[in-house]
Amino acid sequence: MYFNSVVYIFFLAFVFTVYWCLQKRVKLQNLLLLISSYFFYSLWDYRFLSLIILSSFVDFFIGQKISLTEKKAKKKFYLFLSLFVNLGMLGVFKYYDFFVDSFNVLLDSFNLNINIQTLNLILPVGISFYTFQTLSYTIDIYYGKIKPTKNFINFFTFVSFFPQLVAGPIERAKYFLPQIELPRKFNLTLAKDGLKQILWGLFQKVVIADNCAVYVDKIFQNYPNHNGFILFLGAVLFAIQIYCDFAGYSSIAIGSAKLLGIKLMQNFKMPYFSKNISDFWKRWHISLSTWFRDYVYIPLGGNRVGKSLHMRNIFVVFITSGLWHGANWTYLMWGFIHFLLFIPSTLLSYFDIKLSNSKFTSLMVYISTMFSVIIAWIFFRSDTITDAFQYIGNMIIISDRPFQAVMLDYTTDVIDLIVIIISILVLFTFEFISNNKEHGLSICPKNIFLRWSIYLVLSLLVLQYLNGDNAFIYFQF
Amino acid sequence: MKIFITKILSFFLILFVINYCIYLKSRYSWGNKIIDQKIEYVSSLNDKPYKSFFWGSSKTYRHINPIIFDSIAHTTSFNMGYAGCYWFETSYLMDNFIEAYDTSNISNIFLQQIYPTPISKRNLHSRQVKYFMDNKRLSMAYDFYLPRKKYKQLYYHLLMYVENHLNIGLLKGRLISIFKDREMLSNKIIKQKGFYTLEEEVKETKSAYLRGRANKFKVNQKIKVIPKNKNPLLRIINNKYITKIGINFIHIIPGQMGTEMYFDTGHYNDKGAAAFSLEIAQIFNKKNIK
Repeated sequence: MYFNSVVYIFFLAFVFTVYWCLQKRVKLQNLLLLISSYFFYSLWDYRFLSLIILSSFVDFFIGQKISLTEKKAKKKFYLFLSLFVNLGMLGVFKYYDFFVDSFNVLLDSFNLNINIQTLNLILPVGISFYTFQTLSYTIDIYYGKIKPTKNFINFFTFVSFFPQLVAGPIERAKYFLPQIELPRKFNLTLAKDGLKQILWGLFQKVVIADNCAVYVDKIFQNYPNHNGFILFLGAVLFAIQIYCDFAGYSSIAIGSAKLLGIKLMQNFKMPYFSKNISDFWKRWHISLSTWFRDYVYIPLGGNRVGKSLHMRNIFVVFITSGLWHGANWTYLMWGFIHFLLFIPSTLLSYFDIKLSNSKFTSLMVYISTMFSVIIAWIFFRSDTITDAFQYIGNMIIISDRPFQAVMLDYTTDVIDLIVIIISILVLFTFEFISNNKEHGLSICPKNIFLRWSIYLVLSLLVLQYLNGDNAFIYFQF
Repeated sequence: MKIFITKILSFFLILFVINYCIYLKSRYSWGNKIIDQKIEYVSSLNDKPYKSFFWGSSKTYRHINPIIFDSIAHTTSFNMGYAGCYWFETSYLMDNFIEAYDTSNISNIFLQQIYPTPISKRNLHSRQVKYFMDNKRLSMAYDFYLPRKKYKQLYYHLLMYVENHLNIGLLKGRLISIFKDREMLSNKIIKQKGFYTLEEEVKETKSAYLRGRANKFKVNQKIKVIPKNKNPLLRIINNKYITKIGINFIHIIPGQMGTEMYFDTGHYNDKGAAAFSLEIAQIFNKKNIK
């Protein structure tokens, strides 16, 4: 069941109705959330539900054990057990084939024909998200940041809460568990905002991302035959597509949770308005970047170590972040490029050099940041690193074909093209106006007629492009 | 909570009313371009010259030549078939066409399909399987699939019914049908009374896809479905959903033909279509249905 389907709308309406009928009965409400979350997940593949249950089960008991144990060595043992189970599952299902394939290629290059068999396993939806979420729980208990919950329904609900189960935001137990442990009262403002956020998310995903995808797929699949302008346009459109796809998903997830009286963390803060690369990573996939900050970067020493170790820490974070996205060299390269982009600002900070605050410098930094981010997306989207390099190489080819003729190759439907252009303008205008608020509809005209007209137009656009078949990009991670 | 529910319901009511107005204002046949053009052409003729109509999918569009049929059966007919038409789509278009047409001018309606085609997962949500899903078609699906315990198909049909009434994925097409005139049916198809063979299409469009299908058949020589009966059959339809006083509804059941009569694995070539049209015309005469 995808968020962008009519079935999800009915499912959410059903859960919402029953959930608030059970107001003041917290246990029943949480049980409902757990059952509906498992139902939601089982519609993808009920077999993989066992992995979620196993992961929840292991971390629930390990959390208790760590808390009850006084000895540090034992605590460490339990923590490693949790890491072993969760990362082991991730390793087998997500990375085993990738490493085996790469190893076989390496052996081949030394003329050693030892062909290690791959497992060809299906990647369970959302595995990277929920394993990171449960891991954060045990790590936080280990460091004494939180106390374990004794209620297994609450914990299992925390791991499998349907709005954010398959693609985040990766929640932290210290924010999530207290919310479901306490009785919830229906909050009109929160629910209204939740609905608006769902509408905004659907608009991003269904109207913009899915329509951009049509052009992006055509350009990337056939990149050797295109000129520089089209290839650059393809890369820009992919940057917009991936943002709208993932931010759209996050908005629907956060909005759905708000309808149930639960607040999830903000996952995006207008990343394409970032001043520089460091700012970009404070605004893009916030729940993952803060996860890596808190559980990888800081434990490694963060910036409180020597310069070379600090550089190593940044390198580790970006490489693991790349690998987290998928078992492919292209994702590793994407992470590596972002590491490279971090080097100039890190070096400047070492030598205490500050760039001037002039508008021109800021503009140059902004343009170079966005350009670099777009180039990095080419690696993210391409099938292989060679494809990505060739794509970038072809970007400097200037065709002598007239612009109109080139555009005609792509304009299958003029109305759709106009809708995309206007929608992208609307997206960035609304986000700019709402200035760091959670979503583009946070600030809307006070005039009810104008406000409802905006909602109606967006709803009609969503209805036109709603298609329960277009999966979210981040589901594959 | 009451305020919230009231606001949501009011919003969805307005949205539904707008949607439903668009649904009602749009042309019923907008979802199938060629049949839409055929309906426009046939309805625009003042003297309503056609007494018989053939409805169905490509197995009507590519197989039945009304010129040959009329020359034997002494009637005036028009081929209303089109490739990829689902039975429910045909049924919906035909019902609406009969409703709008002067029924006293129609004697016979020939149908190639009378049972629903299952909706495949690949086609689910597409316009092709939903713009015609109204109450009657849903009821037909219910009657057909429920006794056969095909619950997945029932679910798919229900989903398409909901999506159709909410205009999901159909809004643009419906709005265009309200504000833009349809294109004219090509002279070639008019001359052939709605009939168009695959061989002609290959010659005219040079379609690599169709040529590939034909070449594949030349190698395989494998016919997709071999009919049980040797010769084609015509049967009067006795079905609660296919009925209109004064009109004979006739089911066309194909007969066996040699592989030399085929263009590809499922369709006749020019020769096959001519032979098939001739045969059904002769049976029609024998049955003396007028």
